[in-house]
Amino acid sequence: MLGQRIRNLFRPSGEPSPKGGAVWDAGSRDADSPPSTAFPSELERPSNGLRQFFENLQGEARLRILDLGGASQANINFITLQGHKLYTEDLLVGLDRLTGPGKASSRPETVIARFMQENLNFPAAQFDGVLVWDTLEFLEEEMLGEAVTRLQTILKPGGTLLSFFHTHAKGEMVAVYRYQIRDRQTLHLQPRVTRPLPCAFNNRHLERLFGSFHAVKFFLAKDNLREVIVTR
Amino acid sequence: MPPLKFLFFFEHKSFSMDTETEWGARMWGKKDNMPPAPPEKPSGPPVSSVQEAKAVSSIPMVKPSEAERERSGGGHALIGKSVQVKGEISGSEDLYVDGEVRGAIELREHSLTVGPHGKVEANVNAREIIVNGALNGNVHASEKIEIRKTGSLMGDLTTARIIIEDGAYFKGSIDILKSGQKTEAPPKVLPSVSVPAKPSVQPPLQMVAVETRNL
Repeated sequence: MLGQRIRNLFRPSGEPSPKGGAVWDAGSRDADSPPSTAFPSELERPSNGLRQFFENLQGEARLRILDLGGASQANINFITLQGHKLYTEDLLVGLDRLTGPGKASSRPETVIARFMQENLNFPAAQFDGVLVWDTLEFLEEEMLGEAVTRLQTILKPGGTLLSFFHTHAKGEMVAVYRYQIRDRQTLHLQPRVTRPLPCAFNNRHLERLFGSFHAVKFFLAKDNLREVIVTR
Repeated sequence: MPPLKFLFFFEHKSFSMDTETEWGARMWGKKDNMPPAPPEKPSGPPVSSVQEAKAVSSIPMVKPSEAERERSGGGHALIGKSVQVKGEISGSEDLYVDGEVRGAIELREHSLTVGPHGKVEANVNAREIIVNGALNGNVHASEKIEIRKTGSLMGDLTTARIIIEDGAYFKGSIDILKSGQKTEAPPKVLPSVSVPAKPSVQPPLQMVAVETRNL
């Protein structure tokens, strides 16, 4: 435990939260919390999901793309250089503003209603593509359902959504990354924090979750990350 | 802390700043221990009988960095952190906001810097915008927008170039202007307060309704 605390002291700082969007991590938990994984380092990985995402959008110009992983210079450059308009929102910061440490515990319905009011609040059929990254898997089940319904609403018919889900068990600590696009099929992963998974996901869960969409396609990578392409 | 000694209200366009004097002596950043600047000779007929108020604040000002001053050629208007502005600001020099501004900011060919204590709730049209504090509103910058790591920007951006430091918060849309492309400036949030006719000499900064309060 002491070793863990010392490691936490020297690890890179997590997502800064100048506006109260604190993202907690394994270091703030005590002995009866689930064991933490070592803090991950930056890495670069190929992404079939990303390749598929851009293939689905290919040929179109002046598209509207929503990035739910927060503002990233790399993603802004990559997407705007292709002539698309980028919208940015940080779903996890939005979540932590309502449920993070120090927040007064409200009724779940109230929290969900506020979350949906403050996040993903766009007109219907606004986006051609949504880069969800791994943000959905940190939402509690009810909130997740609402978020997926909202995503379906804001996507145009035929629009594409890219989402990542870890294959870890419920409660396990997983790394949350900032996903930076290097090229059409390569991502640079910059660790933000680690946090527990509130739900476990397998293919059947995901098919059910995105059951109301037109198509769902999975790519299972070697690093225990399931990449999911969903088409409205 | 002694209470603020000033409250001023501009209703005309004769307001101008002395760009020759020390930074701290200008506008709201005037230091108490500096000798008062000699009164300027009027270059034209007075446009209003309203006298320009000398702003004296007991709260130390956060000044723009030397680099920011140099970049802007030294001409900077300053809104200190104890100052709150409601209404429309337009001008033909760079503006540094470390207080609160609510309304609209129109600087066109000049830059806006939101200081670390700055809170701006306004649509902004400028050449360059640097955000160290909080800016909430739609933003049009013909040259670039820079959100520093302590900065937060919520709104729709239209610019030729954007720089976002790690740790900066941004929520909204980004539309990159291609060279030669021109878009309409964002609509003003607040209706513009009626201003008397323009004076013969264009002042560097025009302000409407300035309130100050001890924050």
